[in-house]
Amino acid sequence: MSKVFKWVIAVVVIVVLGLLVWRSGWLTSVKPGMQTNTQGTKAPAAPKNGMSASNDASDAALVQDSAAIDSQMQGYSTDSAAVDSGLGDKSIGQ
Amino acid sequence: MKKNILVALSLLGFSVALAPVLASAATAVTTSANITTPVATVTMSASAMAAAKARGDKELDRRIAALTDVNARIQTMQKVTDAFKQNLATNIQTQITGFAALKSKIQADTDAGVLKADVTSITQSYRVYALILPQVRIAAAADRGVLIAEMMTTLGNKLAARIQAAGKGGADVTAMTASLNDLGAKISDASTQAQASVSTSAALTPDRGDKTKMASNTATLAKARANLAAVEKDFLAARKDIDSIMKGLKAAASATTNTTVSH
Repeated sequence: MSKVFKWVIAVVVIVVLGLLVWRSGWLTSVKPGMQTNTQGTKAPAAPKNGMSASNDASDAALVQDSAAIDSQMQGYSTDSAAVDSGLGDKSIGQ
Repeated sequence: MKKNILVALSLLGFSVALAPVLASAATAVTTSANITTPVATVTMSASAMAAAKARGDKELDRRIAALTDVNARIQTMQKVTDAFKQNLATNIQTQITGFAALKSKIQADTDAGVLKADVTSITQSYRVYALILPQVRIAAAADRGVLIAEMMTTLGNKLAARIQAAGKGGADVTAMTASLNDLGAKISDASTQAQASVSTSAALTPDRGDKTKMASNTATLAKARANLAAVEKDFLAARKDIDSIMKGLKAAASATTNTTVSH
């Protein structure tokens, strides 16, 4: 077998092996420069109802949270007033 | 901080308890649609019958609109499960469908006695305004009350951390700590009152013309309404505590800055 032919076979084998490794996902599961999260910790849940992030206790966050609470308290007043409006039912006149 | 954690944990238990109690309200909506009113012998002129039919139509339209409106409010509740909301929506739709059928029946009534019984049933049997709507609205208000308590607890925990940091920086945190403790107490009481409002009202059923039962239902709903008023009062006081703490933190930060500059 000629030397060139042996090199060609070697390259083909390396390429095929490389393709197999790539398709198995072993190479793409850890990309260079990426940090893996080995502790299994979850990101904090996204804040709802206008609140700031749960781990943010800055002045701006406190102001944001207070405003969000004020908004809900206004909604609460509306809900309570709606309860009152239904309590005066009367029989329909015949 | 520990007390706030305890408040937060108790709120988790409270929000779960809210759902099963509200299920009774759903049952009340379903059962009221199957009640019938006895027919009496009545004579009525054609014009009187037409007027009664028109009144019945108007009252049914009002109730259908009110139920549709409260159903929209239910869908915005956050402290009950989606399955529960869907169940309540289905029950309300059943009620609306029943009213639509009653509307057709009233229009087709030819007997004055039957017409009078059908029109009377709109209020006495279904009690949409006197019972069903207040029950669901009380639940919706309580739901929002639990949400506000959770939001205040989250903010309270942040304020606790800031107070701790200010204390370590040499600030006098006595007043802020007192406000924080009061905040925790107000949140806890608000949660208790909100749960009480639902526990009190959710099990009520329509009086079907029984005046004694109607009086009892009215009194129970008034008690639930008083619970909701107590919740609002607690939240207003809690909000003042929050303001007081934030002012204290600002003053502490300014004092630290002035001390740093003077050095």
